Amino acid sequence: MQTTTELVELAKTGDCDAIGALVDRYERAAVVIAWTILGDFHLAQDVAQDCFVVAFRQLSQLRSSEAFGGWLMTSVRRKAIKLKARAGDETVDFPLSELPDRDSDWVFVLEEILPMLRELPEQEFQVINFRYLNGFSVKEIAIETGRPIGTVTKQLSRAVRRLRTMVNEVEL
Amino acid sequence: MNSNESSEFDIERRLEQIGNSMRRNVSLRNGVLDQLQSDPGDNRDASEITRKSERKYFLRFGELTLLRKLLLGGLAASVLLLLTFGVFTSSATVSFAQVIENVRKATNYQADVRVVSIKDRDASPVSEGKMYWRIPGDSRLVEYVGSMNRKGAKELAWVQVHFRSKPGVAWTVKSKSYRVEPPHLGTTSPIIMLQNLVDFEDSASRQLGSKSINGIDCVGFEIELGEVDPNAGKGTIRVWVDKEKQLPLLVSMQLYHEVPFEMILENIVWNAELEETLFSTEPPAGYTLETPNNMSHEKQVASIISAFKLFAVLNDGKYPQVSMIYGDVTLSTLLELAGYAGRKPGAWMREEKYTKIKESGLGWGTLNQIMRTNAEASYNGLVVGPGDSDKVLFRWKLNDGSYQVIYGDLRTEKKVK
Repeated sequence: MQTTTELVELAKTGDCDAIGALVDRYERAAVVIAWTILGDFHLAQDVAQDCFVVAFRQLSQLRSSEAFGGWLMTSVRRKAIKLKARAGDETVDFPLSELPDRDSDWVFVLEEILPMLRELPEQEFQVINFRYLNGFSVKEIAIETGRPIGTVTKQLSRAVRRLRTMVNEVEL
Repeated sequence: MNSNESSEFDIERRLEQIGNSMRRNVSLRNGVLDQLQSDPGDNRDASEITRKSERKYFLRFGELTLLRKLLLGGLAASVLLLLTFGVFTSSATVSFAQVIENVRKATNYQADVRVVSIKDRDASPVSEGKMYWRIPGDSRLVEYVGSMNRKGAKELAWVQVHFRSKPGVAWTVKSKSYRVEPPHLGTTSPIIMLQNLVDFEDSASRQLGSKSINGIDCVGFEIELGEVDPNAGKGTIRVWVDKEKQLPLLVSMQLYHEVPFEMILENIVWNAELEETLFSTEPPAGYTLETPNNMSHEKQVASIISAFKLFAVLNDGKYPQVSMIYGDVTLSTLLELAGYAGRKPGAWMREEKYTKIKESGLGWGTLNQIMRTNAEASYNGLVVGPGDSDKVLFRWKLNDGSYQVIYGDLRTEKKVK
């Protein structure tokens, strides 16, 4: 599998396969970030897509190719927060009607978990997002976030503990 | 199992469930690619994205690479080469001998640069910039951002300053960062080498007749790019000469690569004084040095070998039959050899062969960079094949003074001399 750095370098030459591979690699993390902020699956996908487009247009300005993921995630977060601010303080939950109906089990699991993810500290949310929702290995997360592997491992277990506590509170 | 363990297992399983489900249900790839293809845009906020333009995104990055490759010092040589052909074929509306002499004597020039799609000439340019050149081969190339500022002026996107014998600089406005560019010590295309022009005396050119450009009477002619540089792929070069000043006013290159485009150098001004600051290697105040993403030497070698191997497989046991390797040209050749050239995007793009061709771009790009910047790089694909275990296919000098050698059978060796 090609590294993010290699893909970014190829993407800079206009290689559509590399661009597609980068989208495949980061799309779920990007959608989840926007989703936890906006609470709207379709809007979250639009935001993620637009941020990818802007990122690829401005790829030549990215100083370090390996920072692509973090750069993209920051952009998604900002964009989502901006949209949320425009929409006012309207609280959005995770209405089932907004979710894809191809996989109903997924819908229910998401409805339960996403509000909890929103409660996690930023760094823990990030590692959970990369590890479980995006399928990255601990080593890949360490590269993405620029943190030591040990730190990522600790943050992951802290985040899981925190989520477990939240689940227990809900169940109680 | 206590309740905590049970919950921990449960939450992890649930998270994994979500991840797996999202893999099935979220796919932005086509949307992103479609949006990029339908509107390349530039430097705009995502909320301002429109999807109506018909400009083609994939022209953009590819051409910029070529733009830098072909323009760095290239204009004077191209012009002189074409003029050399002109001597043998022209009627006497212009004294070509005099024009050749004028170009040969030129100490500098500057030109506006435009890149346009050949398939979509009515669309706005894919890229716009300006270039400056002076003897003995110093160059400055700038690109403007796609949109004007509020005062209607063009703003810089990036600047590159190159020299043949010393490091240059490249800086990017948006990120306020810069990097050091290596001197161009290595092989360059005959398109950008004046001293090789005599080799092409016997080739023919085509007369384009006369026309007025911005009210100036010009005479033009054309030559196939392959006649000038067989390594540069399919294309043509056209030159329009100002009859009165007897110097070229416009040069255009039509390049029929994977995505055809035309590069136009216009409003050429010869021998006007160029400020020394244009060739300064000092980045603007406050700019930070970029961290280079250098590949390890081992990875460079591996990527080159892998690219060679693929080429030989697809090309009937022969390595690229050229003396200078360009990444984009070689990729186009591979796509042609594999039967992919000119096909509309589709499921075939997921084929393993296609993926391998695209991945080989890393090797070709690495090889090209070495050939451009390493004075002792040498590629012998014209005479060395996969069966030549004792002949050097490619070698270059390393920083420690030794040589990295790749033999015809793709065996590698580091040699002191």
